[in-house]
Amino acid sequence: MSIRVNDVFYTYGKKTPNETKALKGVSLNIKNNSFVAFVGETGSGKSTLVQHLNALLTPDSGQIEIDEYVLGNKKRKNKKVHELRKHVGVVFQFPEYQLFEETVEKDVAFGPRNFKIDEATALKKAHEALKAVNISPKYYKRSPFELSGGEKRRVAIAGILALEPDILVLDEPTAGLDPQGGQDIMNLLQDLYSKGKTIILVTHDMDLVLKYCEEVFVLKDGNILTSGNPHDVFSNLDENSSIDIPMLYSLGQSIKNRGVDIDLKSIRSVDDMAEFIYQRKKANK
Amino acid sequence: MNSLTFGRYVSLNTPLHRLDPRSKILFLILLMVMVFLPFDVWSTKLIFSLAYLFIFIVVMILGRISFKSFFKSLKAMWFLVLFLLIMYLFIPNSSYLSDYNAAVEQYGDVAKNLILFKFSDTYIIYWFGVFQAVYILLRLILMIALTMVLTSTTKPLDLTFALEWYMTPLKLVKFPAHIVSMMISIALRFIPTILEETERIMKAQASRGVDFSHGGLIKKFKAVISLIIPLFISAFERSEQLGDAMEARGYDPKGKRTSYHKLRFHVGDLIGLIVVSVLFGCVLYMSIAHRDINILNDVFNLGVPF
Repeated sequence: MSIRVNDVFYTYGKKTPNETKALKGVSLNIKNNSFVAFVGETGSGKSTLVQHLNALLTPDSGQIEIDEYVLGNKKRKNKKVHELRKHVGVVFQFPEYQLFEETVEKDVAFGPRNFKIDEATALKKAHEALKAVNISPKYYKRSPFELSGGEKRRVAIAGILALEPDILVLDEPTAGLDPQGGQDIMNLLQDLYSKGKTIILVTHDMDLVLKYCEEVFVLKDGNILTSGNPHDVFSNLDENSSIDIPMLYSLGQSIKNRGVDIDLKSIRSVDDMAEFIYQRKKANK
Repeated sequence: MNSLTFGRYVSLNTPLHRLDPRSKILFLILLMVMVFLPFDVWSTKLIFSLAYLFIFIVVMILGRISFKSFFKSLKAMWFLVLFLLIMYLFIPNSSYLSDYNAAVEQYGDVAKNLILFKFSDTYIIYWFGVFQAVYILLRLILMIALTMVLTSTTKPLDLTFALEWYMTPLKLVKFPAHIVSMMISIALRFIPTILEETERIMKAQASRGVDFSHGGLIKKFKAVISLIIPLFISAFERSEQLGDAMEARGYDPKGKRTSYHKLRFHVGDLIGLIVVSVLFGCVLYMSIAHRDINILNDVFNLGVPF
């Protein structure tokens, strides 16, 4: 499913003393089966934008088209919104707070059950989702509150995955996780992406953006500052932007500045860099 | 969420905002007692109600409180209005009968107008019922409004400091005034946080297909469970964390402490105190001494004895 966001405005607390304009005319396109990131400092409107994608918020003006679903400023029939939420799954920051059922499998099956899927099928979907996030079957019948932080996070993500959304939006999925936990989640997303899903990542971690994303949208004060593939965005960033250029990318630039012929586009992870150095060394011998 | 904005603190700089919270609490109590002081004669009740309303409007303007939000919050009271009207109209009250007899004696046949509806010779509905309902309602509204004035012009924390100040004499009888006020201030402090949390969890569950606004009772009940349980869990976690953080910073509930916030009594408080106590004293005198005003009848010649 592709997403078209067209000149969307949104203001919080309209007509109150603490009115804040969160989105000021955001337009963007996201193709089907792509892996994109929204980045920007806190308060730049990322989370607000994300909440528009599954109609938790409706734009004040402008519209959002997600295939046949059109979200404008008029509140559409709720039925359609409900249907849309099956296609666009949003995983909020610290999603472990949404757990509430008695057992892990019941909690994950809760989503599908809300979409009128019978219990057996819902449980089957839940088991698949739990398997995808690497939760071993021995936990299925336990209370979700007995799990560790990272496990809770994965169960919560499974709760959205069980809906089998075509578009998966994740707000800071790796925040507060240990490196291995973060890595597991990113591997999962990569896998879902290769299976044809669209992944939208909201993050502050530019290493992740460089490594995984095809396209990155930089938001600032409710507007899209720049967008493009991570390479272009990082190479064009000016100094006072709030985006940290990833260490690896700076290293690449530094190497390039010394006159070494390096294709920065191909360096997306530590492994790529190691491979580049190895190849150079082999060529020099 | 909009209905919760009722009486919420609005940061402005008006004479009412500048008053010491302690005096504001005192004024509130005095004014509330004043509003509920009884009078015998209907015309007195009417005149005083109008006077109270006028005072209240002046106070609202002084505190720059939006009338719109006030009326919005009154809308929620329609059920109470209906209930009071029915109660006062249809439940027989012997005092109406004696009022009626007194009026007949005094004014003669004109007083017959006081009968609203006659079901039978013994079950009569008088206009007094309507008066009484309106009068009670007016006093309730005034009470709510006064409280709203207090909460929307005083920071919740200042209120707790003031309450703590009022509770200090209780320390003599080993009442833990500081602990209680700390508990109140923490509770107040966390109301917005928990509201925020509620919204967040609602959104997360809505993303999982929960529909909070549609569906039957059972469906709604289930939806609310998916909200309440995470909310409780996070509230408990939060309280534990807060307790740990306070202890880590050396908080001892029994320890002696000075306060960073000093409450001060200003000239404005003095003026307020004089105005409110004079008002209160007058009304109290009129109520206790049964000084009723009967002017309405004489001046306007209404034809209906009040």
